[in-house]
Amino acid sequence: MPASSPSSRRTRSEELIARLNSVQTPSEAKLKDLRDLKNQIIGNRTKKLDFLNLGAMPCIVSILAFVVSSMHSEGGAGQELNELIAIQAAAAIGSFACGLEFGVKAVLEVGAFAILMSLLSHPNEKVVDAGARTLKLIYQSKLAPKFEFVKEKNMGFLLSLLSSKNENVTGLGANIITHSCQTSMEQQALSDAGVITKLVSLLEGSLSQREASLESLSYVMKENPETVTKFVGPQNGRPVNVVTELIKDKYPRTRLLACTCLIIIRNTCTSYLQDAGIKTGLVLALLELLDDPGQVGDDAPFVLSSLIAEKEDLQMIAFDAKVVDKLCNHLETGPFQAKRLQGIFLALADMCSELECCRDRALSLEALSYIKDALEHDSADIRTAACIFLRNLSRSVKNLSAGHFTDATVTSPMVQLLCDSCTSVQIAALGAISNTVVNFTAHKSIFMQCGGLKQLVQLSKSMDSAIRVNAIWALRNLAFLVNNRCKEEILLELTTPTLTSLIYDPEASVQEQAFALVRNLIDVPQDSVKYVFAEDGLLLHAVGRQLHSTAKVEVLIQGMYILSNLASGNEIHKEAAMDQLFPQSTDSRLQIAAVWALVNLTFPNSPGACGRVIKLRNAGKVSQLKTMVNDPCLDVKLRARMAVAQSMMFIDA
Amino acid sequence: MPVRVVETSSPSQVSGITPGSNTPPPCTLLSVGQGFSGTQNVSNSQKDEAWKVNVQIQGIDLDHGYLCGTMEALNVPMADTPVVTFWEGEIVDTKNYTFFTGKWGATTEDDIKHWTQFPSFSPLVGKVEVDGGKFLDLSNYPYIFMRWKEQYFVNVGTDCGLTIAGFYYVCFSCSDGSINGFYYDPNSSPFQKLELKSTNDGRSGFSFSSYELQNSQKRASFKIQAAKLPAGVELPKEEPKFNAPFLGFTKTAEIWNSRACMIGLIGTFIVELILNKGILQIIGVDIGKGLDIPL
Repeated sequence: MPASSPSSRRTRSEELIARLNSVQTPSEAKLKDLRDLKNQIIGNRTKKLDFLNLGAMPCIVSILAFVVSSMHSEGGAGQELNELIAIQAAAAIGSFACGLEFGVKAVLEVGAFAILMSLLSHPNEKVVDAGARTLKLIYQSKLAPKFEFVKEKNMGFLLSLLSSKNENVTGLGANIITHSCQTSMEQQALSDAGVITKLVSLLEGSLSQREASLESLSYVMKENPETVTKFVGPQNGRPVNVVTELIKDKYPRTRLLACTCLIIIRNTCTSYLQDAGIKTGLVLALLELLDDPGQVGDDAPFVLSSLIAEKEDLQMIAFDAKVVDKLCNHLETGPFQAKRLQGIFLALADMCSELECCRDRALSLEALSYIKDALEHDSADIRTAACIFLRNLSRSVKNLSAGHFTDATVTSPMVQLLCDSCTSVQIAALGAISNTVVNFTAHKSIFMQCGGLKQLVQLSKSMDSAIRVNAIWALRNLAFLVNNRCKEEILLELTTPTLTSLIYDPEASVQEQAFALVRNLIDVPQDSVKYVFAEDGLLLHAVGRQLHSTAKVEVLIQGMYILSNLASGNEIHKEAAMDQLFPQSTDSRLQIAAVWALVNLTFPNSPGACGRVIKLRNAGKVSQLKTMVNDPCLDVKLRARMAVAQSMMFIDA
Repeated sequence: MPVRVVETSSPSQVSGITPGSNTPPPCTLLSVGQGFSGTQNVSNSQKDEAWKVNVQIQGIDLDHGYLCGTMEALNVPMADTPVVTFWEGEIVDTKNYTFFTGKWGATTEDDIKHWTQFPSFSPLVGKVEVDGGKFLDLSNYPYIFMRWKEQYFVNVGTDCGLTIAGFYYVCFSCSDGSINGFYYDPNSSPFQKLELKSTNDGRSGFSFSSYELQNSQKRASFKIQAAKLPAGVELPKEEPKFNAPFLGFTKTAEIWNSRACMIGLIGTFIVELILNKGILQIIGVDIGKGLDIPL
């Protein structure tokens, strides 16, 4: 805190603070100085930081504390002046906290919070108002202390705030809920205490009350079917109608918050708000909000994502409303601040996750060029979002086949992103690469030349299981229908011991992808199967052992297909497949794989088939096949018939 | 051969089918990577030819009744190399598509005329004539009906003198993987036949590759897991047991403390021996007077 400094020149700000600190300054002068200070800092971030560094916060708070205690002890004449000082002090504190995390921290460190709370119970409306406004601003920051709803006293306090006639006080109550309501227990506690009814009544209040209420209702209902039912239930769904009307309100932020609220209801309880009118209304409202230049426009794409994610019917409605066109248009008119760009990419990704028409449209609107630029953006969030968009775009088999995703201008930056410092970027890049390497050509030269294979193999040894599984997934897709030279390259880089350790990986999903990779590698048995026998059959042994020990059906299916593919080779291969374990199951997919293996083992025109059939019959497999001939699943039935027919040829002979 | 029973928690599941639906069953012979080869009869005003054709399935999405792949025509008279086209298919699954085409210049009469060319269609004709077969139950029917439409030439230009304006009515047999089709194009000779069989590519058996396209994963909640050990590191077989010492008395501490004590004592005696004075004298304490407490 600056005392009178030895140097003669002091800034006006320092003088102001010094005057406020001094006990000799009369109260009227302090009031004037406070007002002056408040006016200087409003909207001026630099000044706020300057004053904070000069120790303005402790100074103001001590003045506030002083007048608060005088207000409690004295009566009479000094009261009015004290109240005015309190109001200005609270307003100044609020201004420091507004939109400035450093300011909020300063407020909390000095312990002003309790003092501000005490202002709320003051008889003078204006004082209460000032205190409420300031607290509202503090509660907009994440640094504000968490409000414990489960304590009864606190809940009572909150309810009194919500029942107040003062707009700022009710707004504060709602802001507290928005800030602190995080768990379903808290949501339930709020609902039980009747908070929802109070918030519903606020929906018909002033603009700020409406907005605060909408926001806090979203937090109370998020992923909690009981609270949603409580909100929708009584009064014949009137609250829902009120919110639905608010989608067409004239204020954009209200519209956005109303959309968010309805979307949360839809997503939490699938029995509400499913009619076509609501769906279209939400899509159109959000479409318009995307154009907003401010904060609302930044948030709108995220809200759109929450509406359409994993819901094909909504994606279709949005496509018909030309959402893809609008989003791509926005990409063109950029550059944007990071949040909006990220939102647009993620919304486009959600649009393209299932519908081919959306992907086609996006590609025709030059989506790939925007992605290419974004892959090298400074912000990790944008790089991740661009990769996610590319991943979903490349789910289009038509475009994969046409090779639209394999040119070096896309492949090279993607491979670079595999070494990104941020894990989420790496995982998103791996996801996109898993899809783009499926291009149905026998050679993946561009990808290999960019060093992609090396990177994938490196990442498959990662300690993070999410990276491991995605890397091996990409390798599996890479190995689909490639020629022998490519397969050799893959195995040379990956090495059999690494592949074996992936087969023994603790994560079942990694095991599944590793098996699928081996399945793809031995698809053309003539040459590539030699790897299965390399190093004393290390790989084959591992496959067999894992088939024995795993219980997860997906892993077993892939394992059976390995054996089945092996059994489609020459005699040595068939004999090797015979020695392995054949699990029994009621899962049709596994049964089909097992029957294919038997079909291959009993394939006519192979010399050892007769011997194998005898062995199979002795192991009871033939009679098992005969029961499968009547299986409800058509594919199992037909394959079993094929296998039985082949076996009977040898048994009868 | 040893056998093991596998517990599955979910009921017998086949991907792509919802229980109780009427859509055709998935068939492993009609899956990605599978190849078919055979011939297509091509007739024009001059002569009849049979081109060798290879088909490969590249994508299949049973939920949307969609599949796609490439078709390669060999020994095409006007071309130096095999001509490859990319086609997209509609599966007649009564959910996404019915037997009525409704586009590409094909009327319902054309549809019926072509479907009836397939012997396996005859049991269905009655219901299809009414409404395209919207309510047929194909879930156990051993044939899958499709329409394949070529979308573009992969390796030749559009000026190669060949046309892809029409589409194929296709019938696939689930039991042996054979495919029959009839090309429909209002401007070409009718009923040009496509006959394909499932190929093994010279293997003695059937082989299946697969790929899986990634989709949006749920924004995952975090699960804390132990990281995978780096290569070569092994966990010990037994966890070492730690017994807390009684009152802090550990064997090692006792031994060392005793040693230090003994060494200290002997050291003190040696110092006294050398300096010929008591140790207390050396450090300056006055001796002979005891504690010197005035009583």
